[in-house]
Amino acid sequence: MTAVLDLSRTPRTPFHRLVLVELRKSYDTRAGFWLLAVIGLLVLAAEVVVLAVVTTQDESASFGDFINTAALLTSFLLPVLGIMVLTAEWSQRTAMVTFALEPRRPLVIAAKALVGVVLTLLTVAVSIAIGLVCTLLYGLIEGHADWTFGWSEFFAFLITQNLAMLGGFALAALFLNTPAAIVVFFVYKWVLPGLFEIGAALIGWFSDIRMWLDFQTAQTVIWDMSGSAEEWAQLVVSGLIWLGLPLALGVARVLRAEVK
Amino acid sequence: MSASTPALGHAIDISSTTPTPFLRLVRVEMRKAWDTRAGLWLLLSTALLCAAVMVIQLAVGITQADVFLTYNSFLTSTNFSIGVLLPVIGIMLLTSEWSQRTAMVSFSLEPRRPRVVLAKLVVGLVLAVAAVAIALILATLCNAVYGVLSDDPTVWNASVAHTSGFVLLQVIGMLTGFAFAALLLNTPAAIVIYMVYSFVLPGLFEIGAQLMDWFDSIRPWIDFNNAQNPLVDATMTGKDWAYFATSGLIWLVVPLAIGFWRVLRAEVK
Repeated sequence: MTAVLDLSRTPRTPFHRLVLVELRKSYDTRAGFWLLAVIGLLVLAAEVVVLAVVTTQDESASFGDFINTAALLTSFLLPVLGIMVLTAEWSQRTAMVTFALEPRRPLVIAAKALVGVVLTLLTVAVSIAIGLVCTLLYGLIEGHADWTFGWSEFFAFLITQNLAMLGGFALAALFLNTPAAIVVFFVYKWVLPGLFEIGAALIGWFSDIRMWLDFQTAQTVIWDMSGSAEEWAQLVVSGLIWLGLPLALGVARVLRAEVK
Repeated sequence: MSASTPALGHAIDISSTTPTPFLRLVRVEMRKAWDTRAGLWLLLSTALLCAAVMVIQLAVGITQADVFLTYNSFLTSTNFSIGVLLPVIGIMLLTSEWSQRTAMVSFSLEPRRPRVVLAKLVVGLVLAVAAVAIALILATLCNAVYGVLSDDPTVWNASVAHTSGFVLLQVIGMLTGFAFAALLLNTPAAIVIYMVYSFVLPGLFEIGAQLMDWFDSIRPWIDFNNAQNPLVDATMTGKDWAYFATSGLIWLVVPLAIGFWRVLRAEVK
C-alpha cells in the first residue's frame, strides 16, 4: 500500500511570507543583528560628535547637515547589509533549506531585495529621527535651529541609499561570497573614483566618456534634482553598467548556482 | 558476579615525541594560505590586479605626451592593488581558521596557541615580502618597456630608502589587517573595519583638523595613515618617526596585543 501525499490543495508559499522570513533572517543571527546595531550606533555616535563640534566651535549646522553626515556613514554600511542579505545564505549553508522549501528562486531573491529596501528605509527613518533630535538640541544650545532640509533632499537621500544597498546586493549575487563582495565593493566605492579622476585629468578622450561610466559621480544629479537631460542619461547609462549588469548576471547566477 | 574493570592494554608513550617544531607550523600555515579556493584566488587577484594597474599606467604614460613616469610612479600605483588587497590577505590568514572551523584541528595538534599565531604572522610577513618582490619586478619591467616605447627619458629613481619604505608600508598594511582580524575573528567585520579605517577615517581626521585647532595639533600623533605618507617618498624626519611610532602604537600595537590575547583565550568552536 502506498501512501499518497496529496499536495494538490496545498497553497503556494505567498510572497509576503517569504519577505517576512527573509526579514527575520536579516536580524536574528549574530552577524545580522550586530551589523544593524553597528549602523544605528555609528550614526548616533557620528551625529553626537558633529553636534559637539559645531556647538563648541559655534559653527552653523542645519538639519540637512546632520542628515548628510548620516548619509555618508550609511552609504558604506548599507551595501554591506545588501551583501550579507544574499551571501549569508551561502556562507551559512542555509541555501539548501531555503531553496528546498521555495524552489522558485526568483521569488526568494526578490524577497531578499525587498528586505534590503525595507531595511534601507528603516535606516533612513532612524537617521532622520537622530538628525531631528540633534537639530533640536542644536537649537536649544545655540538658540536658533536651521531646519533647511527640503523634500528633494529627502528623496535624494532615499534614492541614493537604495542605490548603494542595491550595488552591494548586485555584487553579492555576482560573487556569492561575503569577503569577495565586500572587498570589490570598497574598491568600487573608494578606489575607483580616484582612478576615474586621475584618468580624466590625464586623458582627453577619457574625460569625455568618464561621466557615462562613473556611477558615483553621476549620482550627484539626484541631489541637485535640476540636472540636464544629458546628466540624467549619464546616470542611467552608468547605472546600467554598475548596477544593472552585475545584478542581471548575478541573478542569473543565483538561479543556476549549485546549492551546497 | 563481579567484572574487574579491564586495564588499558597499552599506554601511548609520548615521552620521546618531540614538540612540533616552529618551522613546520610555518610551513603548514603557508600551505593553508594558498591551497583553499579563497586563498589561492586572493593571492592570484593581488598579483593580477597589481599587473593590470601598472599596465594601464604604462599605456597612459606611453600614449599621453604630457605624462611623465618614473620607476617610483610605477611602484606608487600599487597603492591601488597591493595596498588594498594585502591587508585582506592578513585578515583571512587568521579569520579563515574560525570561519572554516579548522581552529579545532589546528589548536588540538598544536595547543601552544602563541606559536600558531606567530606562525601565521610569519606567513603574513613572507607573503608581504613576496608581494613587494612581485611589485618590484613588475615595476622594473614596466619602466623598461616605458623607456623603450616612450620619448621621455627613463628614470630609475630606486634607492634603498625608497625600497625599504615601500617594504615597511606593505608589511604595516598586512599587519594592520592581521591585528583587526585578531580583534574581531570574523572576516567580513575585519574587512569592513579595515576599509573604514583606511578610506573613511582619513577624511574624518581632515575635517576634524580643519574645524578644531586642538584636534589639528594632536592629529599627527593619532593619524596612522597620515604618518605613513612620508614613507612613500622617503622623507621621514625624526619628528615623522615619532608621529609614526605613536600613531602606530594606537592603530597597530594595541589592536594586535588585544587581538593576540583574545585568540589565546577564544573558545574554539
